[in-house]
Amino acid sequence: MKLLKLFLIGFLFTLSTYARDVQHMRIVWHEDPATEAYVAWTTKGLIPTGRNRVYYDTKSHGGDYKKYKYSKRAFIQKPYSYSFSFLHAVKLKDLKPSTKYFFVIRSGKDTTEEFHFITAPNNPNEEFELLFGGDSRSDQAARRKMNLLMKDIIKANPKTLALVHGGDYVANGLSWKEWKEWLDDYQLTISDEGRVLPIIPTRGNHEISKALYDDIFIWPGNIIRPNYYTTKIAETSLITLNTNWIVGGPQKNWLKKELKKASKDSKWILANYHRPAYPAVKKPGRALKHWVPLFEDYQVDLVFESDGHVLKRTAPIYRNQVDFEKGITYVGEGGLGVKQRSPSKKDAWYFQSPGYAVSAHHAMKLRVTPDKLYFSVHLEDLSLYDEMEITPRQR
Amino acid sequence: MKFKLQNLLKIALILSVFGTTIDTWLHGDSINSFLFLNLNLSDNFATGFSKIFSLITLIVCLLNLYSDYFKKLLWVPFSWFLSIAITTTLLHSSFGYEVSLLTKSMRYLLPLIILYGFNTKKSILFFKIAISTTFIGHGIEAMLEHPVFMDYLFDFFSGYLNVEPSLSTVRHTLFIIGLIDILMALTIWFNRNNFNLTYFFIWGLITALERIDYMGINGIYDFLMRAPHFFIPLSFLIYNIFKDKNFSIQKQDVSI
Repeated sequence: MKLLKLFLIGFLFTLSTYARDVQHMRIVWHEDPATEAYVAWTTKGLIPTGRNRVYYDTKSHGGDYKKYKYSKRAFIQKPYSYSFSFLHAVKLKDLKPSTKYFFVIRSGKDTTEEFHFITAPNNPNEEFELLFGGDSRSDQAARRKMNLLMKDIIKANPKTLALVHGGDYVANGLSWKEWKEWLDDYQLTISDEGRVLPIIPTRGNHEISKALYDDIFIWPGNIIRPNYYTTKIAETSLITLNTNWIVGGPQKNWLKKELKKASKDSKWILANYHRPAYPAVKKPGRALKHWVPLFEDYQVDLVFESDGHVLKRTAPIYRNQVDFEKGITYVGEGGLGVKQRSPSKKDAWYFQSPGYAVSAHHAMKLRVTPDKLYFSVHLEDLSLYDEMEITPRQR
Repeated sequence: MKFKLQNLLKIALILSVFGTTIDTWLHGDSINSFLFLNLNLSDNFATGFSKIFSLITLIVCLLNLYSDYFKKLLWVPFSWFLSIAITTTLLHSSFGYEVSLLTKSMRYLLPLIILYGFNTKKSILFFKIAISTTFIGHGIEAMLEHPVFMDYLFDFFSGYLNVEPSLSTVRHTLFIIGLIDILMALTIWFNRNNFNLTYFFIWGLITALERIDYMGINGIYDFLMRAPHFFIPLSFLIYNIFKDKNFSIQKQDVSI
């Protein structure tokens, strides 16, 4: 009996020692990044409720948690699906737009170093930038390289606010081991000064099981509207869709409503989803049938797609033809680490000039200004591959 | 009319291989992706291998229609379809969510049904395995609310019945469809009769035609690759009907 007690004490002690490690810190943005943000992290063991907090302030306090003006308790504390590690998440609300927030995470007795992020603006005259990219699975070395590239981009561009990830983070969405590696690698995007690049997530086909995806990107119990949403930044509506769910029916109806609303209150409308309507490699996804006519009706400014493992930009397309006046350009196909393919459809009609499809790891950047959108493509050596300017549309 | 049911199956195989070959040449296949992504072979080699494999398979099936001399080569289409099912499963690595080994079984078992001759002990066993696993696989996908099936149902309700169904209506309908599929699939092990064979034939045909209805011209090769889903039950249904009416039937290579 004594031996059993000793074993139990030893086991609990080991567990609490492990529990001190705060890992996988990340910031997730969903709908209102000017005033809200999720801070999430992992611990190896369970830490009692109330002892998982984020301390934050608009001033730096060098990591001394007692000095931060605000603190918030984790609203999610649970084991990740298919894992023995624990998820903790805090929802920061009522944040000030365009403001640098410094924070530390305290889990049990362990306090992290100080990190910071910048909230999105709500002033339409304020410029900001977003990074876009997808498919960071399968090749860890290339993924790490691309994460370091993103770190360099945000270092050189303080206005770069977040990464819109187009999905397929890992090969097996059911594998906590793969997600753990992905989350570890994502820490490479944190700048030397502690600046964190928030993630605006998209579900890919390798996240076919949504349980871990929902844990990692904080979608608690989202059954009614699974993983599609609009991120509103000042006069920009970024509509993230889910090609892994019903594309017609409720999602199509929702998209129509969102586009109608955005056409009234947004200068810029962007769409983002995983499976392409105008692919460079595979066959067209269901988006072509259900969403493309709506994008054209409501004159969406730019559409981001992933999945193909190439770099592409289509010619402007309207009603299945190249149209330089009303056409919509589709960019992306995913190059944040996954091995790049040869684009088998590079000679398709929709890749005629100025379109292209090539094989190259890449990250895309979108600078949003009151007058124009500036789109650019950066390769893994940081070189500029492509640039495009978009002027506001008549809607 | 003198028509060998064995030939009906051979035509089904050619249509299925033809549809899959077009798909492979136009969009690539899972073998290509697996060789490239999982085995780190070059993209050109992987694509070339897939295309050549598909062409060889098509030639083998055409030769087999021409003469039974090439019967033994039917292991080629079997291997090709099985490789597609296995690599699809491995690429998605999510057992329970990816059931291609079940859903594609009619395609990879059809060459064996032909190889062992129509209505022999072995081919009947393969027929039963093919029918039951394909319908159980699709039944599982339906009960797990496969998004593509849900889209088909939304389109069906709004396009043909002119009603906008609620999400729960579609979910419940799909659950019932999946359950019926699984139950019907099990019946084949107890009794092969006109009723369950008609169900498999009609349902196999409708779900294949749905691809054309949903995707238009792009859905034609998706329809063709599913030819075994309705041709296999149809051939056994014809056999059953004519057997009951005392038509001239031989044990192997039945002619009516």
